[in-house]
Amino acid sequence: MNTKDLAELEDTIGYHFKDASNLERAMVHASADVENNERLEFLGDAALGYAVSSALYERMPHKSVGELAERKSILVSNKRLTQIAVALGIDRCMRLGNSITNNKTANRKIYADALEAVIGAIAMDGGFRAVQDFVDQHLYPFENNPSDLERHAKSRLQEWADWAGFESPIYAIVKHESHASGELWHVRCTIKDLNHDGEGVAHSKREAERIAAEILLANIDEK
Amino acid sequence: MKLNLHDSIFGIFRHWRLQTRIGYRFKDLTRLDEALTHASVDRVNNERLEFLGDSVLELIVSEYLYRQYPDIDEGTLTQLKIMSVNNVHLQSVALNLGLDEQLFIGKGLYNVENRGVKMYADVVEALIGAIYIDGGLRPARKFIDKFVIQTLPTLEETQMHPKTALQNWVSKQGMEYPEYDVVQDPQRSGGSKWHVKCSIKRLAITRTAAARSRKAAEAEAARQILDSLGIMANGA
Repeated sequence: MNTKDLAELEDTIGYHFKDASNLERAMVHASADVENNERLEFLGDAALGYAVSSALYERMPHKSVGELAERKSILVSNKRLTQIAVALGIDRCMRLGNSITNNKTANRKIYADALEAVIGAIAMDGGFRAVQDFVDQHLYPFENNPSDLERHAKSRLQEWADWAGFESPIYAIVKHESHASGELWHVRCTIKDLNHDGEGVAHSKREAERIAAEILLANIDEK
Repeated sequence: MKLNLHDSIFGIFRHWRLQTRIGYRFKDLTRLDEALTHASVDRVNNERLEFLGDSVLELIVSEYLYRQYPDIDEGTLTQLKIMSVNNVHLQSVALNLGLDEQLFIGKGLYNVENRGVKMYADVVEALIGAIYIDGGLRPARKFIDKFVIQTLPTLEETQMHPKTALQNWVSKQGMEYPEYDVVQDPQRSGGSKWHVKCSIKRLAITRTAAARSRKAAEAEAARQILDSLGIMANGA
């Protein structure tokens, strides 16, 4: 049963359809109707693979093909696609058959498949450029979309490092001063093999780390 | 090792001929050379372009099938896609374009008799990647349509007799017709079955099948070759 309507879904995914019938179709699981989302999923799977491969090729000019393939498999894994589908509220828009609705442990892969179907629908409605925009906006953890900015800079940086195949960020205290007005922490954030760092200064260690991570993220973005 | 073949007269001719065949002029010819460089030659080789081209190929083929066959289900679409991007089919595309004479491969590989189906399939994908990076999706789509999609049997052709389907396929690739040789004739050597070998010389593929009639054995051998090409065919 859908508790979220399609206009709302269009707002969340950041794409407005010229013709919403394909989006509607993307929300129909095979258990609900013979006219379902499987064909759109077929197209969406290829469109997603293309959008991710071309982005990785361009953004990681020095990475080997093995590393590109590894990054790609993480980005398009069912686990990740399911997470994104649920975050976008796709699970609440779907039409499912009784066999699925009554099954509490139903395979969550159906949401990943539905996300691919949505991507297929976008491809049909707006072309592959629109698919690339969608993927840029939702697939990469380090993109600065509004919901991301609210999260802590340290966790965004950690996600970026995981995604880009680097080791975890290291936070080192460079200097710690005690003044009459309070403490002052200088923290430097570095990532092994990355030619950028970030330094933060604040009255608490926690805040200094957050600023250091924020600055490092900004440096990465400019790269 | 640095490849500067485009600096020589030979290189200019070679590039001109290949670009004429594939129907696309590169703005940057180093991309074409990169696509033709096997990993055994240089650290800068066609592997990254192949990664890219593989996804462009899947995209264009999927889009084509989705639009061309609005009434067939996802399972059949997937089967048709597998057939289109099958390594042996891509190898025949490579041979059709004469890419086997254009490939830079390491010395160790020159003398290997069978350079490998996958190596040729990879070079087609790398070429698609190079066209895409150089000129975008439009020329890549044009290339894929002409050389990968149009050379495939249509859905109707796959329903034909295997010998007809195979013959249609090889002629679209510009190759000679398959040969059928009787390996065992029950009227001469006894036994109850005909054994017939079907071969496509250019691809170095042979399959032998046995049946009660010569015609049935030929059909089965042809069907087995279609099978290894990833082409769906009517049962013999």
